[in-house]
Order: sequence, then C-alpha cells, then structure tokens
Amino acid sequence: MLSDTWLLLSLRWHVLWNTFRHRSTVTKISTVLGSLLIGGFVTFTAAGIGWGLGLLLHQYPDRDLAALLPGGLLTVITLLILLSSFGVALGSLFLSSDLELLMSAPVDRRAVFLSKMLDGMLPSYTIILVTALPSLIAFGIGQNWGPLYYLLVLLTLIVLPFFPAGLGSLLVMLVARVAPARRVREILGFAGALFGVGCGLLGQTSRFWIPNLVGGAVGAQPDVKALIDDVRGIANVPVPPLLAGRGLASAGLGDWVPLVASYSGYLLFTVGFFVLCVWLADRLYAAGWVRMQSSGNSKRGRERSARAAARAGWLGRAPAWFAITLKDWRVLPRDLRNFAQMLAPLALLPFAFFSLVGGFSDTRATQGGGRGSRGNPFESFGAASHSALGVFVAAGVLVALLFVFGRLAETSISMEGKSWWLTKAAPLSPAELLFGKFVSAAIPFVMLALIFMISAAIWRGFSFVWFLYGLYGVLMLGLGLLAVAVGLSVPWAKFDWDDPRRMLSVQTSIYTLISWFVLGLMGGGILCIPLLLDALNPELVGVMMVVCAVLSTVVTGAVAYGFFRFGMGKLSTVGEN
Amino acid sequence: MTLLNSEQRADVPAINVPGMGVPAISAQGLRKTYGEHVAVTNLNLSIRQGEIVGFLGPNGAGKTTSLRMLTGLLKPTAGSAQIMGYDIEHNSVEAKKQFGYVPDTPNLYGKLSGWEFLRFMARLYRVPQEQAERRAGELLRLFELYDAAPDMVESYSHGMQQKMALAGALIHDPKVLFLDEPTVGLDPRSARLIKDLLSQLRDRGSAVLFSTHILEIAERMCDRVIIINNGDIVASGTMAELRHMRGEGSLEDIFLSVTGGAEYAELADILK
Repeated sequence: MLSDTWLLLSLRWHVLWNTFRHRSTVTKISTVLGSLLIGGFVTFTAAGIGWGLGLLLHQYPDRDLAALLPGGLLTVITLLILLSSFGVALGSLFLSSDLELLMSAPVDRRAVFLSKMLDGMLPSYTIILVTALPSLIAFGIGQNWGPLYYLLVLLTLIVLPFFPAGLGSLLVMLVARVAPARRVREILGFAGALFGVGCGLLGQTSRFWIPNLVGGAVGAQPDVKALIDDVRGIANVPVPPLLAGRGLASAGLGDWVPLVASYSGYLLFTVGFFVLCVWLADRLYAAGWVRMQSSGNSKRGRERSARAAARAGWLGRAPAWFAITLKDWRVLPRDLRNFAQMLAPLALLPFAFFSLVGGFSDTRATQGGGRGSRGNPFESFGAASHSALGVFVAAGVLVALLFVFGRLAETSISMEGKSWWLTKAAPLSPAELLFGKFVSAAIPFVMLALIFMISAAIWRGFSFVWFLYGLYGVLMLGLGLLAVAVGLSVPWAKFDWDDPRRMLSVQTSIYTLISWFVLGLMGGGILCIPLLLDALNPELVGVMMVVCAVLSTVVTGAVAYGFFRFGMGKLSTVGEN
Repeated sequence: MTLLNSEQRADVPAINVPGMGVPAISAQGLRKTYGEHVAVTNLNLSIRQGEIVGFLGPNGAGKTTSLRMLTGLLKPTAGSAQIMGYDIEHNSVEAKKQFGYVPDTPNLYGKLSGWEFLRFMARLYRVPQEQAERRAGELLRLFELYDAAPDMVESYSHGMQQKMALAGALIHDPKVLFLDEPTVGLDPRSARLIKDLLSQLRDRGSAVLFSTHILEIAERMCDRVIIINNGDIVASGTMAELRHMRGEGSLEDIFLSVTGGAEYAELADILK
C-alpha cells in the first residue's frame, strides 16, 4: 500500500510540475514572483505577530502567558486549516477528475484514499509555513529560548494538520453518504460566503459588541488584563493545539515534567485521532464514492412533469434576448457558489447604506433644508452640505450596487461556461445576446437603486428636484458602467470553469475597473457641476442641472455604446480556443 | 463518386444539384489553421435537401473542426459556407435559423430543468409558444425524457443529456441537422430511435450531416459518405459509387484504404 501511495503522490507532483513547466515564461515568472511576494508579506506579518505576542508576555509578566500564547497561535492556525480542510478533502477525495481512472486501476484502494488525503494536506502545510512557523520562531527569539523549543516547533507543525485533515476527511465521508458530493460542494461554497458575510458584519458592528465583550461601555477603553484573564480560562482545555502550546512553552522554559506530559498528550491525541479517522474514513470512502456515481431523482413521474408543462411562465413567451435574461436569473441562484458571490455584497449593502445615510450628521436643522422645504423644491439649494450628503449617498448607492451587479455584468459571457456552444449556434445577433446579458444585470440594479434612493430621500428629506437629479445620475451612470462591463466581458471570457467562482478573468476585471474609474470621473464629474454652482451662483443651478444631465448622458452613452460595440465585434471569435 | 489523390484533394469543386434549389449545406475552400497546424485544409462540399451524409475520418482528421466551421462556432481561416443559401459568416442569424446542432459532448445548462431548457431553446429559435409547448412535449415523450423533464439537467445521465441536446436541436423543426457522434453514450434502443428519426427527417426533406466512427451506421443509413483525413476530403460518394471504385469491399475496407489504416490491419493480423 505504501509503495502505491508513493507512486500516486509522485505522479500527482509530476503532473503539477508539468503543468507549471508548460506555462509561458511570463506566467512562470509572475507566478513565482507573486507567490514570493504574497508569501513574504504573510511571513513577515506573522513574524511580527509572534514578536508582538512576545512583547505582551514581557508587559504582563504576572499573567502567566508563556503557555497560552503559543497555544493560542496554534489554535488559530488549526481553526484556519480546519475551515479549509473539509472543502479540500471533498475536492480531492470525491471530485477530482482522475478518480475513475484511479479507482479502476490495479492499485490498493486505500492507497488512492491515502494519496488523495496527503495531497489535500499540502495547502495546510503551505499555510503553516507562512504563518505558524515564522510567528513561533519570532516568539521564541523574543523569549531567548533554547534549541529544544525550535526542534519541537518543527515537530509540532509537521503533526499539526493531522487533526484537522483527519476530522475533515471523516466529515466528508459521513456527508457523502447522505448527500451528493457536488451539491455538498455548492452548499460548502455558500456556507463559506455566509461565514465571510458574518465576519464582515461582525467587523462592521464591532464598535457595538466589543465593549460588551470586555465589560465596558461603548467608546470606553477595553480592560486588557480582564480580557487576558478571561482567555486564560480556556488555556487548560485539553485540545491538541493548546497541549502543544503548553509543551512548547515548557520546552522553552526548561520545565521537563509539564513538557513530557503536555507534549506526549499532544502527539498521542493528534496521531491517534488521525489514525482512527483514516481507518474509519477508508471504510466509508468506497461506499461514498460509489454513491456519487449514481445520483438521480427518485421522484420522477408523469404527473409532476405534466404540472411543469403547464407552467410555461415568461420563459415560454419571451423574446430571444429576454429569454437569455430569464435563463441567467434561473441559473444564477441555483448554483449556490455563484449566488454566494452576489450574496456577500448584497447582505452588506443595507448595512453600508444605513451607516452611510444614518451616519452623516443631520444638517437640516442648521441649513434650513430637508422635510420642511418640500413645499418649494429648490428651497434646499442653499444647503451646500445637505447637497453634499445627497451626492455622498448617491455615489455610495452607485458604488455599492456596482459592486454587486458589476460582477454579474463582467461575467455575463463567461457565465455560459461549457454551454457556450448553445448560444453561439443559436440564431441570435450579437446585439440581442449582449442586450439580454445587459438586462440581466440592469433590471435588479435599477430596482435596488430606486429602493435605496427613495429610502434615502424619505429618510433624510432631500428636495424633490435634487432627488430626481441624484436618481437620474445613479441610474444613467450605473447603466452606462454596466454596459461597459458587459462589453469587456466578451474578449476575455472564460468558458472552461467548473467552479463558478473562477469564471471572472483577470483582464476583464482590470480593464473594467480602469474604464469605470475614467468614465465615472467624466460622467460623475459633469453631474457634480451644479453642486459647485449651488454654493457659487444658486440661480444658475436649475439650468445647469439640465445641461449637465444631458452632457453627462451623451458622454456616458457614447463611451458605453463604444464598449458595447467592441464586445459585439469580439463575439464571433470568442471561445474558439 | 470520387476517390482523390493528393494533387486532386486541393480543389474539390462544390456540387450544386440542378432542379433542387439551393443546396442545404455548401462549403467552398473552408480552411482552419491554429498557428502552423492545419486542422482543415480545403473543405468543399455540397449536400442536398433530403440527403443524409456521413462524415467519416480517423481521430483528429478534422471532422469536428469542419462541423464547427459549418455551424458558425469556429471562424474559418479562409473559405465560406452556406446553409440553405445563407452565408454562415455574413448572414449568420438567418443561416442559424435553418439548422440544429448537437455536439459530441452535450454540455447543457445543468441548472435548468428539461422543460426550461426546451423552452429556452424554443425562444432562441423564435418558435411560437403554442407550437413550442406542443413540440417540447412530443420530443420529451419521443426520447423518453418526459418524466425526468422537471428535474435539473445536471441530474441526467450522459445518454439522457445527449437526447435532451437532440430534442433542443429539433425544437424548431430544422431544415438541416448537424450531429457530431450522435450515438455515443446511447443505449441500443435510443441509438435505434435516432436512426429512425434521421430517416424520417430525410423523408421530410431535411438534410443531415453527421460524423460517426460506427461505419455500420454510416453504411446503412447514409445516402452519401464523405471521408476526411488530415484535414482533406479523401473520398466522397454513395456506397455504390465507393464500392464500384474499390471493388466489393466493405466501407471499413474503403475507409482503411483511403485513410492509411490498412497497414495497421495487416499489423494486427501479424500479431494474431
């Protein structure tokens, strides 16, 4: 079995090396340089954190932090690996493209499992190499600890991924027995996005809950000593990374009895748990894999189909371009990983909106504008800061919505994926196809823009004219920028993705960002001219609003049309290679 | 019937059949290169309405590339092609309205149900709603997909997806059908169904050009066979014409003799 495992691992590494070797020189150099740069940055940051923790130890010598800090570090790294280990195990154990070949090859089935599992642990070791290793070494140097500490750091880090990898594999095996692996992957992607949204919301609301956590009032300085004492309470929990942390600290301080007790506990628990997980998972692997080969719907039936036949809906009567839109709206939320890409900014959007509108100081009382001025729509023109709030809100709504729907526009052609041939072989003109794609992003954009702008106007009491002007600006600029993104989605469209999170090409992303920045400055700049006049010569504002709206529309429309035409021109050859 | 030597291959004239109107499919000097690699050298062909033509050739001969150029999926390096008289490059929308296409790997939208997929295809091809609904139901029953039609396409087997792709290609009752390896992955019953379907289409005046490696299907079903090798048409004609030129050999013998595979057959005999 071991020789088979080694053979499979070496073949895998050979494939990886060949993949790298056959890339262009520029790609190879940029990959190496990029990896060094990112790796170097993370390593440097991790070392800084390790060093900083060492300073904390010196700052609070009475708090007995020596055992807690390395353990805390290892716990964080373990959690990080644990979060990724389920997805990695799912991908390598059930969803790799070579599984059919390997499972039917005359090699030990356990070798297939073990090689896939070890292969899946490589990313964990990369994380450890750039985070745990530099931080623990920097921490040890700061404490002036001896060579035994560094030796045990190496051993600890070699063993560290065993626990999360074993647990991840076991969970995957159990889940694969009850649900199809591909669906699990989608749900996992969705859960990952939810986790990201959760972290984002926690970050956004930290000023409310952190003081409660440390037992102080909002705005008060947290009591660090109390916080340390609270955290120290969990240091004695017998989980592997905390055991290892106590062992490492004992090695550094030369305390042999706690060293032997903690470290042997760590090794026994981690390696034992790993062996147990491997043994259990191996028994479940074949059954899960076989189940994956035969997934279908057991509820098929004539009546069910007859009911579906009676529900043609809009898709049954839409013109061709709108059928493209309707198809996109169906496909997008059904792939949870794809939907998750939009969900994160969508979930953060209301919070950002309320922070933006609610956080701005209320100037109505001092400036004389606002709700009370609705009788005269131009009354609030003298309120320069109130107008600035309107611009701020409008710009915020525009940017936030572009963040959500820009991706939809940027990936509008890539979204077709391997089914691109269906659309390309269909009797659709380039204009129809791109228009359908544009509408996919434009309609939800317009709906949300209306909701947010009307809400802001009611909440903050914008004058009716300024509200209309701001709304027009957001819609006109937004639609223009979306059209630019749709046009730029064509030439660099990616069709060979399996994971929808990888459908956006770097080129489309960069060129769209640059084009948006330039067009946003031009179109948005023109729209802001009446605001300047508001302070300088308020009588001209009304006329200039009309002039600037027309001028900005002409500029934005011309640029957007140019990009749209550019995309139409590229459609006939895209996806040929 | 023509069996061509290497000099003659370069310039095969397009055949126009008098009295039958425009050819259903015609191509003149189609060429496709990828850098220095020539995938298709010089494809000239003309296929009548009501004709089934088999497109044969070894792996990598240029069959799929040719089909992809004829359907507008690939832009030719040189040459032109017409479907029912409409140029596929310059009048692509009209040309594409005339045909249905099923590739060798039916990558469909996995997150659409069978019903939704057929409705989507019907809208792309501008089939009136009432007609589309009726035809979708008929096709689903014909291909025994009716019960599975409310499910997502991703839950279908390869054969079911192949049949769903064919149903999508037939939803607008095309005058021309391009099929790339249509029987791969199908059970014998479904393969037989497709053969019967192609015969019906021919009887109704549709033209069918399909690539296949199963010579028995080509021999039994095709009015004409085109054999391509290294990007060139090396033989073209009815089975009778091919046999007349090559003696009473089977299509397999003819195929091997014109594609240079005969020596492999001899080698296989020696190895026995």
